[in-house]
Parts: sequence; C-alpha cells; structure tokens
Amino acid sequence: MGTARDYARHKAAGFPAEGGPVILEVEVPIEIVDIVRNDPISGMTAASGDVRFEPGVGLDELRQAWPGLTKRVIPL
Amino acid sequence: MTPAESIRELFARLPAPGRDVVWLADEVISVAQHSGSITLPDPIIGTGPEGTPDLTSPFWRLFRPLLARIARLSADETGTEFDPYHGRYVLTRSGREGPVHLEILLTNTAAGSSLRITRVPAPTHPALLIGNGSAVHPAPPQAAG
Repeated sequence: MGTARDYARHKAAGFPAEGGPVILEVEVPIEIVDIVRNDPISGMTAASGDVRFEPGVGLDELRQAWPGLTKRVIPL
Repeated sequence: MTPAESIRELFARLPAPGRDVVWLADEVISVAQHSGSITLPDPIIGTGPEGTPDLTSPFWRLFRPLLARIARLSADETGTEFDPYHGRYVLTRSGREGPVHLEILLTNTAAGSSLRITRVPAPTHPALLIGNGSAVHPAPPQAAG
C-alpha cells in the first residue's frame, strides 16, 4: 500500500503553500485499532497495512481519546 | 458475462473473510485481463435506492484503498515511482488470445476517485526481420523417415 512517507510527499505536492510534508505519528491504543481490525470491511484494509478510522468503525473512539494520545511530528 | 457484471459480482461477494485489499486489487486486474475494459465507479455498485452513492457500502469503503493498492502494484511492475493519488500505467498480461496491455488511469483524491482499465492487444513480434526486411520463419517440420 506504500509508506507514510510516500503519502506525505505526494499529498504535500498538491498543497505547495502549506509548508511541506510531515508525518504525524500517533500512538493509538490497541483496543481502538482492534475495532478496525475486527470490522469485516475495514479489516480487509487493515490486513493490507492501512488502518482507517471511519464513522462507526473506531473514529468516534479515536476522537475521544485524541487529547491524551502521544503524538510526534516527523519532518521529511 | 460482461466485465461490468464480473466486477459487480466481485463486490457483491464482499466482505470476503480472510481476504484483503491486495487480493481485491488482483481480482479487479484479473477481470480486466480476462473479461475486458472496466470503469469504476459503476452506475450500480455502491449506489443507494435513490441512485446516489451509498458511502457505507463495501465498494465505497474499499475503493480508495483499492486504488492505492493498484497504484502500488503498477508502480512496482513498471519500475516507476509510486504516487497514491494519481497514476497512468501500462501493464502487460497474458490474455486468452495472446498478450494484452492493461492501460490504467486512476485518480485517488478526496475531490474525486476513479479507475479506468482499458484492455488492448499487445503488439506482437510474429517474425524476426533481417536486414532487407524479409522475415525469417521457422522451417516447417520434416516428415519422419
């Protein structure tokens, strides 16, 4: 599916006035990731290495936990 | 079965336990390889009763990851840089009637996402041409004895 670096570089290329690419690394609790992994559809993307938090599939839980999560900005 | 029918049948089988998006991309490529050209989104797949996109359907939940995987697969096969958001590639496959090219055009952004795979016969090299333009053909088999 590609790396976070690939996505960041190409996303930034589409928004040249926004300061360049970075990766936002977030430590997500495993129980929230498991909501995605255990969903029949989202589990298909997670099994390919792409964990997507969607409405009804982990996004609400991620939003609730967000203020307390450890985050790190990685400049590229 | 038309290519569109094959694609609809594929997405109607989802979710597929034990399968992932890598498998799904291989299946989509296989439909184009063996059945013919395809275009997604499709007027039927992932469409709600009012004819509008049903964003909770398996198709729409998997479409952008599917496009990213096809971009990755195509970049790997063609030795080009992976771009998850846009791409134009030509893959070569073996069809039932000889080699085919799959011309892939994809867009994968929040503003719009689409995939077109056009199957065309691959150029063939039926004979080895020598200096004056005449063709060299293999000698016919000789009768035994």
